Amino acid sequence: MPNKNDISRRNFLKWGGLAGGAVGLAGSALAGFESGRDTSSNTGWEREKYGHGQFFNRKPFEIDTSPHEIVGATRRINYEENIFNRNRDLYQLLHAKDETKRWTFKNGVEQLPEPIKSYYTQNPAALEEFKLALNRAKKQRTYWKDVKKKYILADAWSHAHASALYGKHGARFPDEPEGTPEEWDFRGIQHEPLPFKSPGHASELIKKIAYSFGATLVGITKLNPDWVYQGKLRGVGKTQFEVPKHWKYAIVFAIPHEWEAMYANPTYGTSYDAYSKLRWIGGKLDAFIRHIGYAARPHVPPTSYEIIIPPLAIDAGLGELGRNGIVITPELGANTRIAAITTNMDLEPDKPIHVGIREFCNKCKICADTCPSGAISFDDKPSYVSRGYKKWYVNQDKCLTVWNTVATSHPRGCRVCLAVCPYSRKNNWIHTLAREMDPRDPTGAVATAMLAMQKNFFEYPDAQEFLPQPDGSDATYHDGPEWLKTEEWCDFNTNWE
Amino acid sequence: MLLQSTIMGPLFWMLLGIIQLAFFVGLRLFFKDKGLQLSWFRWSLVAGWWLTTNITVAAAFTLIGENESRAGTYFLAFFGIGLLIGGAALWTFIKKPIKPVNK
Repeated sequence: MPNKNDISRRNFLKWGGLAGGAVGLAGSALAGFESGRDTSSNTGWEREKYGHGQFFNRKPFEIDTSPHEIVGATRRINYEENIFNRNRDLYQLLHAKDETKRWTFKNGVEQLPEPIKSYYTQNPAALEEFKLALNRAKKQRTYWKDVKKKYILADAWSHAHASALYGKHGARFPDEPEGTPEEWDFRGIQHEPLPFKSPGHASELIKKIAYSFGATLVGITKLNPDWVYQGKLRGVGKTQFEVPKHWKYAIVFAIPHEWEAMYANPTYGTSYDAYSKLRWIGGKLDAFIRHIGYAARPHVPPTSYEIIIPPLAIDAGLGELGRNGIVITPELGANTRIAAITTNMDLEPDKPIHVGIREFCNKCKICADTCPSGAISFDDKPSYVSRGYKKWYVNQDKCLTVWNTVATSHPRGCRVCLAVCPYSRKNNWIHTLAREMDPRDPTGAVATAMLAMQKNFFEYPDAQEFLPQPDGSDATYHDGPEWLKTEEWCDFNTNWE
Repeated sequence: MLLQSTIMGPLFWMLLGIIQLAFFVGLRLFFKDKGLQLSWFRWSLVAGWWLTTNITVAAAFTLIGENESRAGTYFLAFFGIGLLIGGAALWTFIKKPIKPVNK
């Protein structure tokens, strides 16, 4: 006869099963934790070939209207309206070897050459900001000596990527154009263009080739001449020029920054990692297209452009313009770096998309709140008109001043607005769920709920904290990756300097 | 990473499935011993609550896993309290005897 204290098979099933519930819950926690840790969900770095698991189905969100709000006469962007162009010109004047050509701030705007003279006459605050940036850069160099030990690995990592951009011994890829686009873009073409079955076939092939070269996202659009710079043409020099007729289409491709370093901006991240990869992809795609008989010209970062790429990427359906002035894509968020190829290939263009990013940006303002330079607009809606197009205002000059301020060896960017953007989240199940649900919700309730969680659950350093001491605390958005932390690997008990 | 392991990953999900099944077997016996009879509708509510609880825990730990510890903890606290309240309400509901259907 069984003892009543013995565990019956029934009781074993009952209590064992209920205990299994707790184990199951722990299993869910473990599965979630590992999903969060998983580096293959770092956007753009998935293990699957060509990141297939990350692609967002754009088809339901394609639009036939312009993705840009046009409010007046539109025009091309002038050379000097690009901050890097005007600052480079000014810097060269400040450091001219020939003293008779040297310019100092004491000389005043009147003694500047055109076209920057006109620009700074109309925008005196930009000149003052540049002066401030130069002063900050001096302090940055001094401050770097104090923090060098802590950040030397991050600096070396950035330097390694940059070395692919600024090869001093002919190692720069792709080559900088020499001569007119009509000469350079057709160089080396040895046969008639390859006949494609249709523009659709050509587009599909080009996208596959771009993916094989390492692109995460690829889109195609007709080239809107408004996106072509006026006033300087690589290979020719400073000149007024018509948009070359063979720049018919643009192939726009995007990749993200290395995720863990990007998440620890401004100090651990670098722009150069994505830039060097984009140059590599662009250079190869350029060579591929010319090898099959078509003209091609890569427009790649940091400054090898004749085109403003973000609006082009929007036209090509990669994403929408964010408050921070960056193209935000459904897959990569604001962690999207872009480049393009202009070509005379007959291609089938993609359509722009509307996934509600603009509406989200109207309400969010997290990038504006956390921007250490205060450069990003807090307007409820885009209100700044630039060359006939309405968008959010971003004060590029103020932004650059912070590049010259944060704890890096030299001004190499901040990118806090990329990291803090709620769209720049990992490609794991919770964020992908949000990414898929939000654009399909006509009520906006999902976006409101997501934003409420972003603002109340997530932690953001105050904007000021990103600045060096004593103004700030050298904060990074998240902790730096262990593989860039000097203290994890190095012993400084020697006389290392 | 356990779940990224070629061998351990599939084994983990199989084991988790078996454990969840065992949980419902145990729960069925537990309800029976309490004298509760659950209609398909009440079972659906119980299963829905359990699924939501698991998803909430997994979501919170996903955030913790991606170094968003504060977000994960707040998420678990916020939705966890809701789930506890919902669970208590559900328990009260399923304890009520099912009304006989008048034919």
